[in-house]
Amino acid sequence: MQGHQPAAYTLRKHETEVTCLKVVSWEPYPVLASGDAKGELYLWNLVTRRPFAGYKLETKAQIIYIKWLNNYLIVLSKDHTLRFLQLHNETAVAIRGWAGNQFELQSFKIVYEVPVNTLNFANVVVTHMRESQYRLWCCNTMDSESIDVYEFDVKEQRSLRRLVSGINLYKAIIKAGNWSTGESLDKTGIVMCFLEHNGVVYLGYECGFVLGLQLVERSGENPTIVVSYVSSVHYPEPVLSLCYNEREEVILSSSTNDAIGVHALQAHSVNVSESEIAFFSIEEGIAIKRDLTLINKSIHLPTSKIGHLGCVDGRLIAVDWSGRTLVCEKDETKFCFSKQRSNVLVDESSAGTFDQGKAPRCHIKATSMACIGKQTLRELRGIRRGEKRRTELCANRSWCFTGYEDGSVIMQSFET
Amino acid sequence: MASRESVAFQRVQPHCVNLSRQSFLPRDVFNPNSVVLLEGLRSLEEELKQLENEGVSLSPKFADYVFVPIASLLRQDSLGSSQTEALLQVIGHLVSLCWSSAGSFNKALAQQLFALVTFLISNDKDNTCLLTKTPSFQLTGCIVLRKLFKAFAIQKASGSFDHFADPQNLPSLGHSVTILLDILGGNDNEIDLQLAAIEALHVLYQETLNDGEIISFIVPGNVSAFSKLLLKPGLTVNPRVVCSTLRLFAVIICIVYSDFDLHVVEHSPSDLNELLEEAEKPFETNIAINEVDFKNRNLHRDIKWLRATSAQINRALKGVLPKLVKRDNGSINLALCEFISALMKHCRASLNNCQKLFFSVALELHYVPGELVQTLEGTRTLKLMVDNKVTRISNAIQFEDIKALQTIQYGLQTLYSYQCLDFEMVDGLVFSLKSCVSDFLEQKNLRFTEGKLKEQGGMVIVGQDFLTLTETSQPLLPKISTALEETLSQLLHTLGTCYSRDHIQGTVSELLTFDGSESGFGKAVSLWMSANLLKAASEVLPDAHDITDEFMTFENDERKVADLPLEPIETCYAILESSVALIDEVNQNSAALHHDSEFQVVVGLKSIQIMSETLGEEFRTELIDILFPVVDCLASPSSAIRHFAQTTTLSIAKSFYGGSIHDLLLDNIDYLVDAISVRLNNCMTKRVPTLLMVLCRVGGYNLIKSFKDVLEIIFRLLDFYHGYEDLCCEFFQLFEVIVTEMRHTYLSSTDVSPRLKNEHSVSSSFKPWGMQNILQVLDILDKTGEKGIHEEDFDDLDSNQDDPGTFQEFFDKRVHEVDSDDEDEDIQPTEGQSTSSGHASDKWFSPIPRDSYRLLLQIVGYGDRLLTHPSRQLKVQILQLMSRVFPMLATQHDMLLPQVSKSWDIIVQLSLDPDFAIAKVACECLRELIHCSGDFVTKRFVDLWGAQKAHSPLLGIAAPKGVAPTLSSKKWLTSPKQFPPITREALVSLSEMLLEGIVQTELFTSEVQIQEMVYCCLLVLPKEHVQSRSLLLGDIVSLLSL
Repeated sequence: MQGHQPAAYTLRKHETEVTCLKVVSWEPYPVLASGDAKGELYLWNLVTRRPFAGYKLETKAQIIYIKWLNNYLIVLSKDHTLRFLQLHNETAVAIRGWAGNQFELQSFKIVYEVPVNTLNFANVVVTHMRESQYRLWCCNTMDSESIDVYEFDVKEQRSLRRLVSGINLYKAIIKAGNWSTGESLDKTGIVMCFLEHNGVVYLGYECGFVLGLQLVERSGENPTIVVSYVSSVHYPEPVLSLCYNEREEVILSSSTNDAIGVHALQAHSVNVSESEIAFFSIEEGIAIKRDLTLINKSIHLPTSKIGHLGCVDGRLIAVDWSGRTLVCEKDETKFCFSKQRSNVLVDESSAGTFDQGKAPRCHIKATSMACIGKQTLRELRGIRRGEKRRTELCANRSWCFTGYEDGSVIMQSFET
Repeated sequence: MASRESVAFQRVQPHCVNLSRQSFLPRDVFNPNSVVLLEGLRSLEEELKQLENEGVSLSPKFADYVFVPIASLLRQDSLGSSQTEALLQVIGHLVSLCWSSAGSFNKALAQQLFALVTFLISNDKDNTCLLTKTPSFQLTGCIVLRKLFKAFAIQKASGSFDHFADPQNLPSLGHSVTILLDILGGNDNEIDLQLAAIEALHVLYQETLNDGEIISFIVPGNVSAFSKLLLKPGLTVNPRVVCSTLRLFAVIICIVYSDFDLHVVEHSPSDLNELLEEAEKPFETNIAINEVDFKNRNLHRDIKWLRATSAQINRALKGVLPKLVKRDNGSINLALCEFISALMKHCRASLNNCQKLFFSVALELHYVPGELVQTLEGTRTLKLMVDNKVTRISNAIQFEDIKALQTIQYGLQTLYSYQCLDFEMVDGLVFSLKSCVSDFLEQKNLRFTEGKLKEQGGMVIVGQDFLTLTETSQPLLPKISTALEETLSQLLHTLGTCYSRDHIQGTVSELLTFDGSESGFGKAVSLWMSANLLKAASEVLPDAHDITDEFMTFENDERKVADLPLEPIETCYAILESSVALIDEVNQNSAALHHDSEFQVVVGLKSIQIMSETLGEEFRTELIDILFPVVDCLASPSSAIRHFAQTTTLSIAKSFYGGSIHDLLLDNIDYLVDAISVRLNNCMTKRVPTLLMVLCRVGGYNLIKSFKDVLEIIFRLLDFYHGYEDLCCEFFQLFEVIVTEMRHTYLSSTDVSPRLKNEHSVSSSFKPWGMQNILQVLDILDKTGEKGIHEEDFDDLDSNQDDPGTFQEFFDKRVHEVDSDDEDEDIQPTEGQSTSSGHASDKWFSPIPRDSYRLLLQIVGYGDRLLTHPSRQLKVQILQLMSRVFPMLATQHDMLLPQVSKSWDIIVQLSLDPDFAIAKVACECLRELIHCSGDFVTKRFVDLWGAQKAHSPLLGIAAPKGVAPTLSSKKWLTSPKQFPPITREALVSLSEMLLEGIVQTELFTSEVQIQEMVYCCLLVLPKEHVQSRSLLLGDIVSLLSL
């Protein structure tokens, strides 16, 4: 509206901290999915900046992770459950997109549920296999340092099948060629985050390692996990976030320091065919490339403790623990915003606290982040000019969304 | 027939006989002024008149008979004026009765009679005596002449004879015409007479003569007589006369200058050179009379004559027509229209030289007859005329010449309806209009004002009913008459309808492109014009649009969108954007409001209204950006802005929310709040508290919950800008609204003391002692029940406890270890849980949820802090708010107490303030505190009394000799002392506070102190009131008054 000035809006609906944000592709313009600490989920029309669909988990468990896949809203929550939700009526959504503030939100129904270990902070990876078959990568039920891989059919409640169970990749890591044995590393620590790209699942570990894994299934044998990439770029700090940089085709990882690990795709895009398996040493269902070496490439951002990392239109968006959202180009901050807290603190305990000596925190914690680049809209048919105009206004900008502990989501546009 | 005639004979016979007695008198005896003669004539006339009225037609013989005495009378030397009049009447009757049927009029008789009648009416050629005669005489003359002309016409039509074909009769004809014209010109007060003269002439020209050739001889005389009449100053000439004259004028000109009759051919240019020549002198006559057609007849009306006389006519009309237009009389205007129309119909070519005049008159009259425009030349002339007017538009505006503007509007409309309007002209007009109007406004407003507006404060606005419309309409353009404004908008409307869809886009975007030098007025005028143009253009579009569809087929199905109702013009959005930009520009410059900026905002609002009406349903999606600026203006310090904001809001509400502004606000409250938060983030606090207050009231507490982050911004602003008294006051007013809404939501609003609802908690520090009702007993017994009661409030905590959280705790510890080098920063993923787990042991009793309770604590926290502010108003505001908040905090007793201990000291200090207004509210607040916290404040209360005794100026006034009750004081303790009202009010609240403290602490306080307190209370309050509070108080009171 105001030319190219950055615009900032606040999405208000959550009453508690927004723990997960995810941009979901939609027609004509993507929508934003948000989840909070009390199990409330909303889908936001970003053009009207209003939620059009919502769901409240009965358990009121904190939402950890949201993914939109084949019209399923896949939700991982602190009640150790991964749920597949489906909108009751998808067509009605578009029509009511422009209705007022007061109309009732569309609701979801639960289609499928899987139990998942959520004692850690890790998200999961869900990929679509075939028809209603999905594969899930997550932390092992008992041990958050190892991973499990499952397959299931969302139309069949009892179809859960464990492909890989409790794989611990510690041994694989220390086998990496150039790992200096002088460094102390007695275990991997828990898995901090998962990211899937192009069939490869990336894991960020508490010990600061980033691994690229693939699952190879051969008939008659147990599936093999192929370790195709290892990086110790963050060692010994934990990996906090992973994201994919589309423009440079690399995976990025963040940690508690200012380093951003850059993981080039070429280095680990292995064609896992029969013949190449020979180059791997296979042990306990884990295949490791014989010449596997650590690739530690990194860039540095002007901030540290980056809890959430995103990348869009060539810009890095980092949310750090001091509540700041930074939009960076290479290592230069282009734009930065945060929410400040008022000075007068409220003592919420009748008994008094032990934190008295602690300096009051002056910012509001940012608890989640998502971003979306400029969109080229398809020909908008059957949409009135006013709506089209508004949608275009949105689509011509890059946006990032930061969720805060006070339940608000800042929708901020930035220059690219 | 014959019998009727004989009856007629018999009827007139006695009168004739009677008259004969006079008329046949010898000349020397005959008295021309004889009354008897007059009576005779009159009785004859009466009889004839009756006959005429009966509609009888009689034979000439009858006339001959009657004429016998008349003839002899005429042979007399002279005749008196009245007698002549009667005589003329008789002749007149005879003409209609006997000589008006075909063939009944003898040619010779006619000749004699006509000459005779003219002579009788006026016996000299110059008509010197005529006008001295009575009007009735002149009227009779006119009537007789008319009757004669009529009779001649009948004879002519029947073919018996043509009276005026005989040149012998022409002198009489000329005389009769001069008679009639003189009568017409000389009797301004005798309307009927003038009309009669006109009628006679009408009959003469139209029916009797109807020959251009003859009339052409007398045309000059007629024209000058008519012009002389019509040019008489002011309103001398009656409109009816004017109209009839014009009609007669038209008749005469149409006959004489008839294109058909004259065989006029228009000379049309045959090659380019001629065309160019013609273009250079467009108004020169290039017509000729095709004289060959007349077959060598010798004619008066040849080309020379035409050139000469048409110029005269033009000159005459040039004088007459514009003057008549100025009279601005409906019937005259109509007559003028007919006049022009008739002339253009019959004499377009021969009076070609008058065309320009006719156009300008027709334009003034807002009636351009089709006859004028039919030809290329006509339209060209019209265009030139309009163009000419357009170039003088700045004059029209300068002098507020509404008529001129209307003429331009009419001209455009006409051109448009004949499809000969080009867009350059429209565009040119639009832009000159823009600069004229904005210059004019600027001048006017510079000349008349000092520039700055009187502003009204925020509370004035809230005090007024914020959303009810003041019905009086206000002018939009400042310092300009509403009529001019109305005219201008009509003109714009017309202009708008003349635009094509594509064209208007260009024009409007050009209008709305401002360079840096554009003044506020210029921008506003551009916007206002654009909105009006677009509105008009949108109204016409559907038809214009369809035509292209019919003739063009589009390969791609892009056109299918046209199946939907017509898309709005893209530029509408540009207008909305400009409107918002203009409003924002003013609102963001916090400098004092000037007239130009006020105008800018007002126009912005008006344009939004126009666009909302134009866009219809399409406007709904725009509310996201539009509504806030409009609503914001509702709180403007300028009453004009408020007015237009109201009308615009109401118009939007009418279109989309059935007229309910409440619904409009409620439905878009998210956008409004967001806009406010953006503003607050930019530290623009103007009007924000006012707006938030209104929104809070509209949205209720559920809304407030969703904009907690906005409140956080406000708290932050308080952190930074606590020095600004007004700002703080407004924020605390807002907090008061929020607290009220919260109370309304969670606590029954009718419940004066919500504390009583707290049945489940026993607040006493000696619990379980201190239970007040059976429910509390049951509660103690049924401990397990507690969990279920407020389950949802701490459900999340439970779920945490249920977790097999061992691993997590382990990890928390680990992360702590990892981070221990960094300053004590929070550990992102865990902090939320660690703080909340701190409350795990708390039981939440309050009906107010923890979040909202937290908000209350925050408000009180800021209250505490700002109570040290020097502002008196702010202190009072905060204390009043606190008195309301503490009872609400008391719903969670254990959380209340820390806050009480924090706030106590400062409030006590304020209760000792020498400003009694502050002391009063401070005491009230203390009373609430004591009431809510019970025995928790015992020690503090006792200390408070010490402080009061030592430092309270209030107490010093009530008991100047100390507070210890003495024996002497007892006697006047029976009734309270008298104090000035403010002091008294403060003392009452102090006393109430003391009483509350005594009731709460009772036996913890020493009796001496209680006695002192009660003594003070008795100085202020009636004994009965004090006694009634508790048993102990009753005892003390009776002790003291003994």
